[in-house]
Amino acid sequence: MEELTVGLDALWVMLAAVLVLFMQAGFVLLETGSTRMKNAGHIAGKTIFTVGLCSLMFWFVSYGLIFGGSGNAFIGWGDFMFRPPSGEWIPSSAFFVFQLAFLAVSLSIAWGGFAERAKLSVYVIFTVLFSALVYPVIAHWIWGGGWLSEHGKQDFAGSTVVHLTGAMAALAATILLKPRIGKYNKDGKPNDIQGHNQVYTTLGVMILWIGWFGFNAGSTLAVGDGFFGFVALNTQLAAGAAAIAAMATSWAWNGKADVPSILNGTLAGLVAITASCAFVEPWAAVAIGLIAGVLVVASMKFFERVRIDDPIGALSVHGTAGVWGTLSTGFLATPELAEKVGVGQGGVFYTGSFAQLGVQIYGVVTSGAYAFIVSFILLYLVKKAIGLRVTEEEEIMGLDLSEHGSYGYPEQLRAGHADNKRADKADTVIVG
Amino acid sequence: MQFALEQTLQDIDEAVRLDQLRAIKERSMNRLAPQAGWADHEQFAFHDGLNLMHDHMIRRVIRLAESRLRMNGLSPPCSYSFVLFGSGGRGEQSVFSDQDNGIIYDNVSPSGPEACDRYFRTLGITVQEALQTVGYPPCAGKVSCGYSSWSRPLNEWLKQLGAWSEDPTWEHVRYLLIWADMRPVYGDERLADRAASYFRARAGGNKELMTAMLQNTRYRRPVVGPFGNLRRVRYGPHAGGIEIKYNVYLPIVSVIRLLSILYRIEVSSTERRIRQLEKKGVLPRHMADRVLKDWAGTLYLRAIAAVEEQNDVKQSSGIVEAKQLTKPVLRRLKSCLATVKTLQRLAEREVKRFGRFGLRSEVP
Repeated sequence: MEELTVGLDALWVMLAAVLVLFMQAGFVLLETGSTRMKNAGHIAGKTIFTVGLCSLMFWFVSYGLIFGGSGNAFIGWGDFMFRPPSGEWIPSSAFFVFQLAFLAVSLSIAWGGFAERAKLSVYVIFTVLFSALVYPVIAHWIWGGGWLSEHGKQDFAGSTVVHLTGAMAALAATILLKPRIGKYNKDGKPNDIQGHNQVYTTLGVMILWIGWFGFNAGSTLAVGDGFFGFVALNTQLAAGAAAIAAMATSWAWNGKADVPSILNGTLAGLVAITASCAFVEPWAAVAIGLIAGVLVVASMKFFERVRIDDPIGALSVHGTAGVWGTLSTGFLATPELAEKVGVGQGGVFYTGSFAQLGVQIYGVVTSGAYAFIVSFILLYLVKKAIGLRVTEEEEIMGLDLSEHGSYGYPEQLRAGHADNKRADKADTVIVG
Repeated sequence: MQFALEQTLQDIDEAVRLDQLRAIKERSMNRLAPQAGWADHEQFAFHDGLNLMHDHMIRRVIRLAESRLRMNGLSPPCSYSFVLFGSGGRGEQSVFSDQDNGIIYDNVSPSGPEACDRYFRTLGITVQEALQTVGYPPCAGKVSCGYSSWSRPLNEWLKQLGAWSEDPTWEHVRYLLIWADMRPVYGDERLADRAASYFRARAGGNKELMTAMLQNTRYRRPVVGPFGNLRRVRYGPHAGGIEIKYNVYLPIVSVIRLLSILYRIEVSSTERRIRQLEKKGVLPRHMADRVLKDWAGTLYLRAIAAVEEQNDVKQSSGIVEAKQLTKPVLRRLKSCLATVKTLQRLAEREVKRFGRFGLRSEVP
């Protein structure tokens, strides 16, 4: 019987790992659809090699820095070049793959800040640096027995660990890279650089949504008591509420229920419920989703106003919603669920105590600050050493051609060039 | 100002070349700017003066075009009326306006209909090009005397107006609404008057058409949010500004025009239409006063909208920039927006009432 339970748990964790890894397909479509045609192949292709590279890094060093048994409150140590022992509770190999997929997600979130102007080499270098020096530290603090986990910080599936960490790296990158050419006029007024395919973006969100069941429900790491169903229910409710709230907010604010806002709202709901999905009642999941949907629209406007170019909304979706999701348990966690999960205590609304909210606040501030400062320093050093951004000419030409030598959409873009040449020729004839 | 206008009109009437007219236009337009503190009648007077100048300019261009054709041995084979549509027809052209015009010519000529068609085709193209040279870009919607569909003999126009009225598709309604603002500026006004009378008779009593026109009038961009928030332009060089043309100016024009068609009012300017609607009892006195006040405000807002340049042609963006949206301007704008809402409700009620009982004066 025990073997059966172990087998089922292992299968569940492996299935969840596959679902979380499948989210990369969602990121490919989301990021590609939200950006321009001339960069499509580059954006899609870089996801594949960075997932490959971060997998090796996770095996080589990240896992050991998070879960290594010889560490301290700040960092784990040991289990480098991971080799799984046999005959244990859940095979740690399945757990390893599951955790690896989380790092890959965090990294894909960070790429949002690099989109459409970073050199390919920077993706390679930052994958290594982020996997070794940024993500493992936060993951160790909260999930690997570090100081925040000892303080009882609640982050069930990673609103802080995965989403906020990725978003802070994206923020550091986008500040150092500066806005894309054409995003802002000389007087600072913004232009709308629309993504080239809203259907791709929508499909990307849908895939991420499905994958999120692996992310959240899979984080129960067990099937025995069916708690994963409760977590999945909360996840679904928050996503639905956030989609509606974002649509309503966008309509009220802009007069149109614009599709990118709806899509980002849905993702924000998922991000927000990620920390709290195991700690709150379903009604609270709806409330968390609703607030996330409103926040993400406001946040996107805020970043645009302060001239931080966030091509796919990563800062708002994963950063702002990540912060809100983390704080939400400080308000809404029930004492029973906190006890069941075994992390922290009930939130203000149930206990009248601000203790858990306090932990959540300093947890999110220190984690966010670490991820931002270290990412900024690392990227700054890279900038000084080799530069972060492609040349103006390369950016205008598109990263497909400048970084890879071929277009993601060769027919369309060649046709465009042919039209331009015809127009040039026609002009010449008239002038002549 | 009065003296300057008179002098400018004289300069226009005495100009013998298109480049002279262009220079006069540029010189005058750069000087023209309405003042925020003006009373309503001063705003109206400013726009009347401005449009008097446009009318003189257009007449002078037509005269020069006629002379040019005459030098090539071409004279008008019959009488004709040169008419303006759109803002020109309403006498509401802004400093930067494009061309919306057409020609109605007599269908009785000793030289035969083909000679008439040939002459007015040539005249239309010549005038269109000349107006462009002077600084009136061609209409993007191709409502211009250079296109044969907007330069026709009277009998064809009547046939066309009848056909559009009988089949009120979205496009036909659009053409009829353009036609509703027709105003002759040159030539034999009787031809234009006959066409206008025919239009009023066909359109004014047509319930199906009035309903279709109401649909067209209902459209407006939602500038006020559910919490009373004003929605601003999000992107581009005018980000942070507020769209005036589609949110305020055109909605007021559309509703007043619709009511004018319904009540067969003969004048084409929005201001005069409002006064006529008051006389007919469609707009109660207090409401007419408010509409006139907000109409003056709307003209001011339109006049201070940012100017943009495309292909070396200056034109109004229709957007009042953020830096100009001071508290008094925003107050004025909100008042105009409230009037748009009231007028749109009134138009719906009037068209419904017309569908059930006929016009007010016909109610038993």
